[in-house]
Amino acid sequence: MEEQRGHEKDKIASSFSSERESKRGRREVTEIIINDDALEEIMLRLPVKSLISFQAVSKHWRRMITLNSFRERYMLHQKTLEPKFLCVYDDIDWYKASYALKEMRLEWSSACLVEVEEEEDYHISNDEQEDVIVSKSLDGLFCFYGRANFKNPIKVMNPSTRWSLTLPLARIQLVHSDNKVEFSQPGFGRDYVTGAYKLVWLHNIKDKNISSCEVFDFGVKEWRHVTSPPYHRIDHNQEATFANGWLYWFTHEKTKLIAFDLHMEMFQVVPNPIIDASSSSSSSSYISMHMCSLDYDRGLLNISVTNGDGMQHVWRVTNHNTGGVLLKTNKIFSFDLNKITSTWFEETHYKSSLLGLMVVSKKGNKVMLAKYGSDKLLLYQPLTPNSIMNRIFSYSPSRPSDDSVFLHYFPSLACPL
Amino acid sequence: MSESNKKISLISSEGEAFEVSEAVAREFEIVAHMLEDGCSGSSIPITTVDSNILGKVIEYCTKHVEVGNVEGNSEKAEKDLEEFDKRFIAVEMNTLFSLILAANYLNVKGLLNIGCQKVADTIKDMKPEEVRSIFNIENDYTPAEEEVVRKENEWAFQP
Repeated sequence: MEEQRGHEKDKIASSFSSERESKRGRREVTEIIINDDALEEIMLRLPVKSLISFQAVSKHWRRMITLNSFRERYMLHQKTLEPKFLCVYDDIDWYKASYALKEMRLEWSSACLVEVEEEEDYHISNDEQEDVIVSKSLDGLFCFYGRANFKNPIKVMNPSTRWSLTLPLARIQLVHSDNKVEFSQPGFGRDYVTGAYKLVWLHNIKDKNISSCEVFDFGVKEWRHVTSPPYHRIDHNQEATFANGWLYWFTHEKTKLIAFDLHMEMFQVVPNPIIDASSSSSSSSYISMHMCSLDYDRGLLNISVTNGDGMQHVWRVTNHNTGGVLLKTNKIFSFDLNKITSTWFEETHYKSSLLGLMVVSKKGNKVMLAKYGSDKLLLYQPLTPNSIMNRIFSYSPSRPSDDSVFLHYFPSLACPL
Repeated sequence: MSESNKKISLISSEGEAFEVSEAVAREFEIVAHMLEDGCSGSSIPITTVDSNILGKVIEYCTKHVEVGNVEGNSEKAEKDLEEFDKRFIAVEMNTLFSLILAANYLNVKGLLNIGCQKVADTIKDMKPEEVRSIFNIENDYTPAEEEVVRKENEWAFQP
């Protein structure tokens, strides 16, 4: 097989050069030279690893591959494809304590996550044998946090380029003890005016009933304080959600969200577009919500809501040109949680069974859903609602360990520096 | 519609005329723009593309227009088109390069996509020196400079 491939390559190279010679004899001008436009189109379709090694082809190739404009185009092109998945697991067979990253691709037709080729998994040493939490991906970048101890340094990583940065400790990590502060993991977002990535750590200081916020600036590699929003207890069970240059947090008052403008670095409290402030007061204790934005369409958010009857409604919400305000656009679909809770979720409390939207297929006819805190991923086909969730995604090969996690992303050349 | 019966001549770099329906010609975005800009002439010179390649691009567009016109586009039609695309780009590298250049110039997005994807799939596991020979690129690094680039990301140079 190897030999055959080598032979084929020779054939390509030689046929190309012989053609060149014969043409040169006749007409110099017809010599085929791929121009930069066409070359860029080819490069957009190469895997990240190939692009990294092809920087050694020539100085011109290196310049093209490392240009910021090419990085951005590469990202946009990736987002037109079905997403990949990153599997993070504890590799107990490795010679030293580490966690490993594996790239998987999604096969909608067989509802399966399949390992990408024979690539060796990327191992990251973990001498402290720390349990990590991995953020959702933004532009192919991930944040890794210590699970047990929030004072462990945060690591930001691009698993495709293997670039990583261990952040200095934030002030909250230096001065506060665990029982003094309440927070969700820092929100990871991007200033759409300058293109700068930012990590925003909004937290509540419990005994003082105040909020405080630090932003990590990748330019100077430092945390700095920003003016914090009026005190609202943030829902620390949910990651902040990024959309269109803004980050959003749920608060304990379900009718309000906290919004952060990543360019102006200013907070706002905005009404929840899904819950009507006037009518919700009586039933709000049954309402459970989940928010996400899908990485290929960061201009939109999805908010799921269930109000205790077992129906989950998934709404599409936009903040395009609204100055941060969220507007409800349409309900994408609804499904009945009653129909699945009995079959393979032990819990019977609907309100805690809300399903997270992971990925929607490019054609929009298939959806991957996940339950918070569960390793099961479900296939839902909105066009045939009665077939609801009769399939659980399988893995090929099988999951490396029970505590492995799967996160969708788009391989990119992104680097926040 | 009468408009769809209108014929347009595309003239290759050698001056050869290819008569196609307007629908096919419109698959060339560059031609579609010319027509929208009120360029009413029935013959359009494509000076940078030779007859051999222009003929192939027209064959590609004709097939895609035909399939696109079938009512209730079935899964089978989609499969057939995929098969057609696959066969269409199973050509020598130099022809493939010419097709890509033509598709890029004429702005035929579908052809540009499958052509570039084919090249990318062919070269993705190659070594930098093999890529140089395919693209006929001279290595302008000194050995020391090249070593620096390789050292930066050693892992990416391992098969």
